[in-house]
Amino acid sequence: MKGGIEIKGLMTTQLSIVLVCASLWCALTSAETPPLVVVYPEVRQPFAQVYQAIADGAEQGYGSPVHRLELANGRNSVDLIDRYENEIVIALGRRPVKQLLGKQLNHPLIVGAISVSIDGVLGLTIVPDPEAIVQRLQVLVPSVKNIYVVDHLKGNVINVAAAKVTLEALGLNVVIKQAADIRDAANVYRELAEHLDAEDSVWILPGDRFVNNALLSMLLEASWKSDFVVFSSNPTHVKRGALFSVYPDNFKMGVRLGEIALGRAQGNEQPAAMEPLTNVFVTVNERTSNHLGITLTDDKMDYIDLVLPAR
Amino acid sequence: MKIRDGLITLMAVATVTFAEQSNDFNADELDVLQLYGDEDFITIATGVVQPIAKAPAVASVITASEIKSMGATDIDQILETVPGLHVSRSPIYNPLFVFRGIHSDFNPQVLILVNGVPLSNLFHGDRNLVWGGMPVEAISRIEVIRGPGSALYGADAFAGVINIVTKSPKELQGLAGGISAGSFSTNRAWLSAGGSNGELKYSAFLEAEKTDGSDATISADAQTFFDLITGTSVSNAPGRVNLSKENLDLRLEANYKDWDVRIGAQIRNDVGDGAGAAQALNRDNKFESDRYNVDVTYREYNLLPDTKIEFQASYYQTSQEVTGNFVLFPAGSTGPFLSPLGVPLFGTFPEGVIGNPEIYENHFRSGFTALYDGIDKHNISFGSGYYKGEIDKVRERKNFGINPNTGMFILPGEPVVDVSDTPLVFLTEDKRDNTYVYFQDVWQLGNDWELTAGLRHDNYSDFGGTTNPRLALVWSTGYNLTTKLLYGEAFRAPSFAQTRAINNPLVLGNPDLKPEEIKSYELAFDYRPSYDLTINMNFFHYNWTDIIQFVADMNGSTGTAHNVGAQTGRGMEFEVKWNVSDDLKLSSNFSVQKSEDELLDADAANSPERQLYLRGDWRLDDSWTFNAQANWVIGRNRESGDSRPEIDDYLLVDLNVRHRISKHIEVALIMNNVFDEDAREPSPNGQPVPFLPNDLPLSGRSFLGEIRYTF
Repeated sequence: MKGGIEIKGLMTTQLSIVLVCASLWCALTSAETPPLVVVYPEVRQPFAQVYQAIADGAEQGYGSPVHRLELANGRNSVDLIDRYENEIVIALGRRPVKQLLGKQLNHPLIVGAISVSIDGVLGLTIVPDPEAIVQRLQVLVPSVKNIYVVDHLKGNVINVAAAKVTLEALGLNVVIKQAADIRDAANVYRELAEHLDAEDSVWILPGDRFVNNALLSMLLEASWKSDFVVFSSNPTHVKRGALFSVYPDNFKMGVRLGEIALGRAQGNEQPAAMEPLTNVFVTVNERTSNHLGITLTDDKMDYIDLVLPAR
Repeated sequence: MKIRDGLITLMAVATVTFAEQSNDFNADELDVLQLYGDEDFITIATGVVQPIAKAPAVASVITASEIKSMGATDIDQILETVPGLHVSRSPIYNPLFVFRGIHSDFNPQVLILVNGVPLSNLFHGDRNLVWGGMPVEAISRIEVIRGPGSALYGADAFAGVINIVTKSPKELQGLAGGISAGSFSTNRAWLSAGGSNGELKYSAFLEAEKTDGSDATISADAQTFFDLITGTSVSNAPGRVNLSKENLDLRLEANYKDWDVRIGAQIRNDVGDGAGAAQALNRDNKFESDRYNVDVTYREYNLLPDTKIEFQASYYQTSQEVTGNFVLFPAGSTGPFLSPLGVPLFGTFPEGVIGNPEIYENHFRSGFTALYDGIDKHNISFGSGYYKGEIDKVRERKNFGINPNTGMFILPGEPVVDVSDTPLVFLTEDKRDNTYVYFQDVWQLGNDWELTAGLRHDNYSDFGGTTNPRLALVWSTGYNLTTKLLYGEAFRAPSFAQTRAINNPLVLGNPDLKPEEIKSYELAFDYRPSYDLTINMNFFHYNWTDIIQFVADMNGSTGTAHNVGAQTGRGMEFEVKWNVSDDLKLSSNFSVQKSEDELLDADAANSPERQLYLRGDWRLDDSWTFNAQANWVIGRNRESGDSRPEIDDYLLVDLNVRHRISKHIEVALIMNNVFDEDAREPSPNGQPVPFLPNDLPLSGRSFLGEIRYTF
């Protein structure tokens, strides 16, 4: 029995030494940068790949390993990060962000992978920057002079009016058409389809709920006949015949989030605002580009990440 | 039965627990979905799978998710769903992939590739007599091209090309596995693991299967006929078809920068011979086969301007081995050694007629492909390569024929004699090499017109040179319609059994054989009236010439291989895919072909003239999916001179119920031939009668329960 107590005592001493060492190590490392925690929802594949790639990028951007917390169903992010102290937290996706925003946290919070821009919060939206899209349009089809956009009267995830100013600075004429509902939008698109030509383009905005399959089909069929360009913020539209679209470069998005976190850790002054997504991939429909007479030269291919082959 | 009950209970319990959680999953997944549009695009965007490349051909692609949803466990089940392709059976129940009415005993007119490397054997030009099936868990997708493809792929890309692409390390990150068990004492297990270290990505896939194969009964066989003639009574028919197998498949892959290395092993043990290699049933007959492959690919994109070069070298080694003795005719049989009046020449063989043929082959390939896009409107590819194949060991032990030691007949009751390395062995050890060069240009004639023109020249050490062109004109007719006009030629290399068989008592090889040839014309339409509806239709016509057949010799007892046959075929294939809603997908195809044997002026035999396939995939919610498919095989003609009535058509229905219990666990129940249909594939005609008169019965109703776990 006595032997047992001695062994237990010895183990306790060893454990203490280990804990002290670990604390010292933690203290030493935290003197440089505090650990970074990335919390994201637990989803099935292939959806999980998106969050995993962002976390991989965050690790690179931050320059040191990050703790990854997958938020299981029914769990709360607040409980998860309560185990940590002083760490910087990157919350990805709607559920973790919703749970953590507005809570009294001991952790600096950075948000990412959400489609809305929240005032007063540091982070990155997943909505591609309009300038990033339109720059690709100018590379692929330099002959296009006009961009037509159908905007919701109640607004959109993109501030179209602000985008117009930016895009016109690039030398393009941006025409904004307003629509109140899907019927209204259908009329606007139909009217555009009848009148546009090879110098024109239609930009389908991110999350545009006006453009259902029937409307998209009508628009793309008209663009095939009249040779105007349709580009979209929804990559699936490219499969269906839109010329091109953009989608997030998840890894680079993660790198940028990691850099924002690093800046925060180093105490750099950063405006508490969400940046638009500029790191995007471009996908092009080969059949449509052939039809429009666009040769995908090496110069153009430098701006293209994925060509969806003709059928 | 216990496993089955357990699975059903497990599914029922899981339904209750999961239903409350599925909404949370939905919200998070929908957020991601909004960015990409659909789930397929996520897999492409995250680089897990490549977008399907266009093919100036009539082509089908079956992806891993489709394979899973249809509940397939072998490539045969997948390939049966392709329009214009029917998987028939040889007497040993090896699959015969019959494209558009092109049927033959060993099916060498089809080229099967794994990651671009051919599986063809030299002996019969097939995939090895001891095939044992190919499991599907490691498969990322299967690409099937109907029609000739020798202008790109060389020999045997004749009636069709099947390229099996295995899952890459990108698709296999992490650890996953599964087990399944079911009818016919079937047990399967698989495990995959993948990881990365910097730019190095690696994966391993292990699949194992043990099964008795089938419950089908052979009611009468060749021995039944000999029993009738000779008065013996030793046939094992009626008896259960011999379809046991123990398979082990290992696939390793590593990707580092511009290098890909793949290593594979397919170990086949305890492989039964179906209804018998001599069409006489013996459930103790077992074969083995060990197949190993390694291939290395290197990509060089910076050596020359506007040029991407890919080098590949591969090695493939196969064997056909016998476990114990291979009994061609059972103990007490006289064997087929009868006088013209049916009198036995040697009496009865107390141990049966034994023949143990074993063959070892190796195949080495190296070559390069260069893609050059430096000329406006042209994409040029060219390449060259070298192949060397060898049957480097032929072994034979038998208890009939001539004893090479005595020069006398081996008589019944005498022990098995090893005739290997003697002039009396059934096949000579030999080698073949081939050099080739090819060129192809994809020329953008106009905005909506594209012409693909290709030409390949092959030179073989044994039968000389052959040049095969292909032309494909693709017209983007409208926003939702594409039209293709295709022409192609192809050749099929004579097998060593056809050129080098020397001591078969019935058929003899002919070293002067030329390759079989085919010319094919196709008109194809791809019409997409809406995003939820795709319609593909094509019409084809082909001329198959110089078909190698065994022609009776003057001596009246042997037949020698000659290029004598000719067949023409024409037909149509129609395919519809309709996404009725996000949760319901329907697909169907209908094929019709009419082929004629020009030599006999008769309808070509054994291939279905019509085939109808229907499939429905229904997703009840995020956790439950149901798949039902039906395959109707119609109108198979008998061979000329076969007096049997026409073989019955058949309709097979399969069901697959799949349930995701959690992010990690998924279970499924697969039912094949739900209505226990008596489905049969045609057995060959024989002289004086067909030896398997009641054809080749397929399995009755079967069940398989499956559990998958992703760590």
